[in-house]
Amino acid sequence: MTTPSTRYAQFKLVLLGESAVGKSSLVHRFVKDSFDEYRESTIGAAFLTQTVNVDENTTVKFEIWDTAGQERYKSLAPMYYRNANCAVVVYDITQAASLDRAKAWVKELQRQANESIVIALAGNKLDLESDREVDTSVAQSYADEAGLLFYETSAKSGENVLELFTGIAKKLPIDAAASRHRPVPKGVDLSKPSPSSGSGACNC
Amino acid sequence: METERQRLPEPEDEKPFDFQRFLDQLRHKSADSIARYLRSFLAEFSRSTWPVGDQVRIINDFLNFIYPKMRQTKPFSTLSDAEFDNAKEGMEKLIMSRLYTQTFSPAIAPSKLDPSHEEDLLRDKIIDEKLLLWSWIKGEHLDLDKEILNSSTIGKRFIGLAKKELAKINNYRAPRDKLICILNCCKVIFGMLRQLKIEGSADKFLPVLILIVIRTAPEHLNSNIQYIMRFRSPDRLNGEAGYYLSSLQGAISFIEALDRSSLTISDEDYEKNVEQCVAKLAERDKRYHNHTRSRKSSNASLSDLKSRSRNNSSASLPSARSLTPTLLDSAANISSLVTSFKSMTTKLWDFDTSSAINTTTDHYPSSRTTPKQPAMSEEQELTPTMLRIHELEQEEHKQATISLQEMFPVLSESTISDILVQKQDRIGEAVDACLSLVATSSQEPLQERASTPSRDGQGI
Repeated sequence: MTTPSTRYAQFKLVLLGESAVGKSSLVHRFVKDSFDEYRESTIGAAFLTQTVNVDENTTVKFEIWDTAGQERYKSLAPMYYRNANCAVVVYDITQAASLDRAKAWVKELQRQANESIVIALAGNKLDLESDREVDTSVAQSYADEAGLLFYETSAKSGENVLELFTGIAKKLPIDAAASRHRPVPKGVDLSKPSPSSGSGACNC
Repeated sequence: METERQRLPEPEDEKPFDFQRFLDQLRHKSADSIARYLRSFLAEFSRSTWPVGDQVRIINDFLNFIYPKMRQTKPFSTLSDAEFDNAKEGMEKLIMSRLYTQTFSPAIAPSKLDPSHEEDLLRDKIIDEKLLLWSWIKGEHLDLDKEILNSSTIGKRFIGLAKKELAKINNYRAPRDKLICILNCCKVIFGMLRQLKIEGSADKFLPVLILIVIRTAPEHLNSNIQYIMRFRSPDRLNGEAGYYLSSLQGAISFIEALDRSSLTISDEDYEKNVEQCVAKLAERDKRYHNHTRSRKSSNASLSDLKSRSRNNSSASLPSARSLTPTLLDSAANISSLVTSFKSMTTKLWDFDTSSAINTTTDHYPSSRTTPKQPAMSEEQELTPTMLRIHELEQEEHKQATISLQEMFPVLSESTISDILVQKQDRIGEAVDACLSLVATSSQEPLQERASTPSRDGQGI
C-alpha cells in the first residue's frame, strides 16, 4: 500500500464528538473512499489505519482512534488522546448543541493533550443543508479564533472528507516524524525508535 | 484478502509467534554467549530489589543491549527479519517470565514490594470492590443495543467467549501474552457487533467492553495493565493492541468512577439492586469469616470473597470458570508448582527444563508439555497436573470450536477446528479469520442460519 515514497510518517489521530454526529461514518467514508476494493469486514472497527498522499513524494499514515461520544464516557477521553498527534472534533451542522460540545472537546484538547496537537473541526452532515442550524461563518470564525482547521463534510456523500484528512496531514510535522518512522518491515529496526519505555512512547 | 491485510493495522503476528523455536535457537551452541549474558543479567537483576522505574529501565537497557548482540551471533545472525522478530519477542517473553515474581505486583513477595507495586495492589483492591459492588449491572443499564440485549445465541456466545478470553489474562506471565488476551477479547466483541449488524464504532464497543469487564471481573486488572504498559516493548504498544489496551483502561476507570448518574436506570431499581448487592456481600463476608482459612496474601479476604462470589454466580455464566473447578484449580496450582520446581533448577540454567516450564505456564497452558524434566520429586505431582491441564486445553479447543460454530454456522466444524489449530487457539485471530472467510464466501445473512450443518456430518 504505502509504496515507499521519499517521505513517510505515521501519526495518531483521535476522533472526538457526540454520539450522533457521524464521526465513525466520517472515518469509514475516509477509509472506504481511498480503496477500490473496500471490504465490508473492516467496517466494524473503532481502530483503523489509512494513508493519504500529501504530495507525490509524501505519504502520511493515520492511525485513527475512535472514542465513545456518549456523555457518560467523556471522562475517558484522555486515555485515547494521550500521545495523539492530531484530532478531528466533529459536530453536526443540524444540531447547534453539538457544536458546543465540540468546543468543549477543543478546549480540553488544547489544555491537556500534546502541545503540538493539530486539531480540525468538522461540521458533518453537509448533505442535510435544509436542516442546518449552525452557520458556516459562525463555525469558521470560531475555528479561526481557536486556531483550528475547519471543514464542513458529508460522510454520506463523501464531500470534503478526503480534504479534511489531507488538510491535517499537511499541518503535521512530517519531517520530524519521518526520521523516526521508516517504512521498513515492521519491528526490525535495531536502533529502537523510542528508548523511553513509558506509556505509549511512540509518535504515531 | 490481500487488500484487507494491507489495510488492517499491522497484525500482531504475521506468522504465529513460536516461543519454542526461539528457545531452540538460544540453546544452539553458537548462541552460548547470548545465554551467558542472559543468565548473568537475570542473576544480577534478582540480587536486589528495584523500584519500578528502575526495573523498567534496566530491562529495557538489557534488551537494547542484547538484540544487536543477537543479531551478530549465530544462529540469530542468519535469520530473516521476520524470524529475528520472533527471537526478539521470545527474548522479551523469556526474560519477563523469569522475572515475573519480581515485576508483576501481585506475584511479588510482600517483603520485596516497592511503593509503586503496593499502589498497584491497592488499586487492584479498589477495583475488585467496585466490580463486586456493580456486579448486578446489566446491558440495558449501559444502553447496549437491543440486538445484543435480546441476545440471540450468537450474542450470548460471543459475550461468553469474550469473557473467557479476558479471564485468561492471569494465566500468562509474559506481557505479550497478557496483551493478546485483551486483544482477543476485544476482537471477539467486534466480531459480535459485526455479526449482529451493529456499527463497529467506539460508541457501540465501549459499553460492551465495560459489561464484559464487570461480568468477568478478573483479578489484578490494574496490576496487569500496569505490567503490560511497563514491560511490553513500547513499539508493540501502538496500533490496534494499544487501542484495546486504552479502551480497557477506559472501561476500568469508568467502573472506578461509576455512580448512579452513569447508568440508565430508575431510582427505584437502582436502590433495590444496590441494597441487594450490599446485603449479599455482607452475607458472604459473614460466611467467609466462619470459614476463614489462613492465607498468605494480605488482601486474601477480599480475593477469597471475590472468588467465592464468582463461583456462586458462575453457574449462569458460560465461562471457563464454570467448566470444571478442579481443572481450574489445578491450572492455578501449576504456577506455584512450577515456581518451586524452577527454584530447584535455577542453578542449572537448563534450557530444556525452562523451555518446557515456560511454554507450559505462559502460553498455551499445556500443549507442548510432554514433560521431559529430569526425574525429581515434583515430577509425580507435575505429570498428573499437566495431564489434567492437557485435558483442559483439549476441552478449551472443543468449546472454542463450538462457540465459533454457533457464531459462524456457515462454516463447518472441521473448517473451524482447522482455523483454531492454525491460529493456535487464539480466539481473536480465529474470529478474524472466520469473518473474512464468511465475507468472501457468502452473501447470505449469517446469524439466523440453523446451526451445525457440519460438512463431515460429525457431531460435536
